[in-house]
Amino acid sequence: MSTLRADPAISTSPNTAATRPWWRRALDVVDDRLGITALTYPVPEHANNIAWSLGGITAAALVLLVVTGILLTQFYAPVPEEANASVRHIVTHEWGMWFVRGVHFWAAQAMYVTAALHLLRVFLTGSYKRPREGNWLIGVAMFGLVIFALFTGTVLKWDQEGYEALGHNVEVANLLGGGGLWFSPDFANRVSILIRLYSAHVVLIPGLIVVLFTLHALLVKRHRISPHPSLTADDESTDAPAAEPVEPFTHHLRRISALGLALLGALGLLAVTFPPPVGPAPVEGIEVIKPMWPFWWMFTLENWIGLSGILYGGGALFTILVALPFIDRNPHRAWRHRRVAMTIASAIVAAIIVLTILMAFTTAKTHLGM
Amino acid sequence: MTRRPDSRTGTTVPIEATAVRPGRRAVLVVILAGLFAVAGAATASAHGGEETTVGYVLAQQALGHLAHDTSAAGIEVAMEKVDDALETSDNAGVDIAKVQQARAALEANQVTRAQELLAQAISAAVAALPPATGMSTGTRTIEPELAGRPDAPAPSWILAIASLALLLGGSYLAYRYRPADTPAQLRRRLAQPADRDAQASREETP
Ligand code: HEM
Repeated sequence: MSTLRADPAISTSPNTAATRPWWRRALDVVDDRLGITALTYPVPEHANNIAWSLGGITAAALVLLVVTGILLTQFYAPVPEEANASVRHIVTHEWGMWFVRGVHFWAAQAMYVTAALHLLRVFLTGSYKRPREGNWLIGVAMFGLVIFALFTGTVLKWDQEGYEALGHNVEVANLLGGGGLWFSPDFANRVSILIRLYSAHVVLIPGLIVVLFTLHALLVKRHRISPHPSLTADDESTDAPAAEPVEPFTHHLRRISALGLALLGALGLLAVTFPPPVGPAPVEGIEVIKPMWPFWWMFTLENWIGLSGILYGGGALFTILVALPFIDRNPHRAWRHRRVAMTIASAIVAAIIVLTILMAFTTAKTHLGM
Repeated sequence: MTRRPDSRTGTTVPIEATAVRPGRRAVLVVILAGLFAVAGAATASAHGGEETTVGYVLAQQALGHLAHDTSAAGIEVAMEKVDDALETSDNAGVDIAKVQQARAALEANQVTRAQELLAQAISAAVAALPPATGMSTGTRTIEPELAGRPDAPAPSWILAIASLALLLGGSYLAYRYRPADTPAQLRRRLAQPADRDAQASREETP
């Protein structure tokens, strides 16, 4: 491993302790107890590139979602009779909360986009290969949870869009028979399904994401960051070349924080420019609204082959994601040496984009109860 | 094609050809078979419920259509629902006379009037609803879509400027804290490991 560049946070020696300013010494006292300087461990320089920071930006989006989400729960009423009205109240009567809601709405989509880009980066650089297969699976689970959070969040508004999304979900769950029982209103028919989805949205899903992210981050530390395939002559190596310069991990955290601030600014601008509206309270038995765009590709499939299209499409994507590290045994990490994987991945990404675009030009159709 | 050593045969084999090994193939077949089984069951059970005959729900459906689409097309589907509401025998809590007036208003293209009349027509039915459980909507009144921002421009401007400042400030800091080398520089550096320090100093002195 090469030596670190001179960095005051790392190169302090005990001899100089007496000459250090009082606040440095005060920090040392804290650090002796909390071990914060342990975070200055070296990481290869390429880990500070934007592409390698996408996971961190996703985590920053999660932080913004948790903070704005906690604020929203103070004013949201998760019962069918009140839910839609309480969101309207949040927008019109609680000071500044329309903005908080807007940031939450856009941060949710940002997290979906950055998680997807992070997944693509990990795929393109072959970072899911030995020994990181387990962390890939944890990532797939988190990606599923992000999508589930988008879905439950849409339902919480309890407007026509959310209710129709719920209707689709319940019918897809019915197709799964016993496997979809939790999503069925029959599972606990004395409470509204809205209340159960609310508990999933505010406790279960974020809680699971936080637990899984902790594991994810610990595994990244344990395996060390994957090598940049173009920086090494041997693209089968599991580690960055020893000759690559390193920087303390705290520099990575610093850059992620800066990117997180920029993200918050961008989301704030979106919230002011395109504040999310609240639709009319829901009515059962009609289908007039398209779902949110991340779900469009599955809904084009639904238009073609019926409700089960959602199941096939979503099921196929996640089966492929889960199976990927076990099927793809090609040891190379550079994309040039992974023709089969690259071709299949390009086909999948292209299909999702085309199906999404097709939905943009389609009006809502009736599928439920068909 | 790229080749890799094969421990079993002691030769090199093309990598693409070994991408799926027999053991893995079995796993793949099992996964796919499972998927198709679920899919088959899914298609088989994709049958469905029927349209409702509950009078107040039909009136709500008309209101739902009108809340999203007041064009001629929207009025047409709403009119169908109103007709269904007039025909059904399950009309507890529904004021049929009001529904008829609503129909007349729709025919005259008076959407707002029709909405008011429909809401009045089902007020008794929705007032008598028990607390919503399961998939019940719990919907009592159907208001039009609400814009996501109150009409007070001043705080919006302040928030927009603050957001822009954060975006610019954050981007500046992210640029300042960028890694010391670009990937291209790193590649060059690593290409000549022995010469690394000399090259670094060359890059610093133009
Ligand atoms: C949804 C929330 C997620 C968060 C917050 C997150 C966060 C992170 C972070 C901070 C890293 C360190 C390197 C980097 O940022 O690129 C990382 C690495 C990694 N992530 Fe994620 N991730 C998420 C989802 C995913 C997904 C969807 C996958 C793939 C299916 C995935 C697979 C991996 C793998 C394999 C690594 C190790 C890669 C390496 O060493 O280069 N993660 N993740």
